[in-house]
Amino acid sequence: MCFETGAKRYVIIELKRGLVSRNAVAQLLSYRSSIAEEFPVRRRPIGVLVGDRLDNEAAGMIADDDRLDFIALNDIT
Amino acid sequence: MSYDPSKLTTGELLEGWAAVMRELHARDALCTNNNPVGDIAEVNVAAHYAGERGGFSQAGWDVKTPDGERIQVKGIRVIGRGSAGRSLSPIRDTDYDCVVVVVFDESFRVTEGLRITRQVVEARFPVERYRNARFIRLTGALRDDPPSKRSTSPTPTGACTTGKSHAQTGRVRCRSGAAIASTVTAVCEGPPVPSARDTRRYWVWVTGPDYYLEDDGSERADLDPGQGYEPGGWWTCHRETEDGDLVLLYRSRRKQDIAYLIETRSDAYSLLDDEHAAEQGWDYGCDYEVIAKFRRPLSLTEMRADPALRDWGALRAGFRRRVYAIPPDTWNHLLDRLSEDRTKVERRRRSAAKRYALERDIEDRLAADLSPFRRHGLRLELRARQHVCRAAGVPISCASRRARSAT
Repeated sequence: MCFETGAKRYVIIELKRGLVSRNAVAQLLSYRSSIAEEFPVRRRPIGVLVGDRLDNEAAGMIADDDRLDFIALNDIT
Repeated sequence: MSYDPSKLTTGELLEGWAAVMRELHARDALCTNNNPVGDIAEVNVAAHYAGERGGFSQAGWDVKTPDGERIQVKGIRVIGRGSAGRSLSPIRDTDYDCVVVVVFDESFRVTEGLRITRQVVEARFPVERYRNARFIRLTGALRDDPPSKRSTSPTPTGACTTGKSHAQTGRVRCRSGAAIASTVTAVCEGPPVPSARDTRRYWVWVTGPDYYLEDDGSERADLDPGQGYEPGGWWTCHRETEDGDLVLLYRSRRKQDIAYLIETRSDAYSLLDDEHAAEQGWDYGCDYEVIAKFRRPLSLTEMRADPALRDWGALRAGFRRRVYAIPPDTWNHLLDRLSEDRTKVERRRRSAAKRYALERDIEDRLAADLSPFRRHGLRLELRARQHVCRAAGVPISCASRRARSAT
């Protein structure tokens, strides 16, 4: 769990190796709502999935939620 | 003549201890008045690499090899097998190239040497800010990390090596430096070196139908192996459980059999601050990964009919407690009965451990340096790893911690 200093909001990062499925997105959504409840700040937390690649369903879920993001593992390691 | 300390007074024991310390100083085996473990470890490492020992002027390294490699030496004396003894002293400096860990048994015999590059140390063990130091913890995951070299490998990379001629007897052999040969021989000639399998403990976890069956009575799909390690998934365990221990899962009541092989992915941690766990009377939990689901589980009836298991305490007690230790011989026997091919099971375990070590490595690196996220517009500060969330009065895990426990 991180804090984005500029935007003053929590960022939950979930690392998944291999193909990232909708289960991983659902897991991250659950963490995000738990953090929002536990640490109420003005800006709501965002979730970032880090993994090798997304399957189609997961990609759709992330595209539909502006507080979810995906970063390819290759881009940050 | 045998030495029997129980016949001496406390004063005589302390005098004896002081005399031993003086003599070790005189022989250059010790150079401080601190706990001698560190000094003796340095003596070993210096002798092994034919290196020079550092003085008090540089804090970062303890031994410098003839090639100029600067080694920080950590010694640990393990009495029994408590996990409390497996954290090493702090690393506060950066003036070193690698860390060599020397593990002694109670009688100062070397049981293991581990050489860890500085890169691995820094990636795996971030600075703990409030103590301003890194702390290496000797876990199964660290030992499985490819860059860490164990002394038990045939290549002499560790503080001590097991020579090929010694491999069958498993005795540690150290290369002696001329000036301290006798000391090194004394501390390095030790008992059989434990193999990787012997350094872990074996357990049976006992669990009820609520935790191994779905509501419709089918077997839980999320206990099937091959789904990878789910961070935060935990099970109640014994407080002495360590990362990398192996577990058989006994299914009580409806099934009454052993059906799964599990590897722990953390040391035991306290659940005292978890209200839900406290209500259930659960005190310790461990992260875990399911390695194998046996095609043919071993039933309670079969176990009771097996003469080789007659003395196994868990079986005699009818698996009434949540967890029991399994002696290594019993473990081997159980695995032989459960596995159609033990090599395949071991291969699967190693493959899972390697993947887990890789994931941890990536996580450690990112936790130590979040700057790569800046490219994606995120300037981040790390607040917690594997944070356990509590919302609406109910403990919910940020890593989907799902408590699994006994009967």
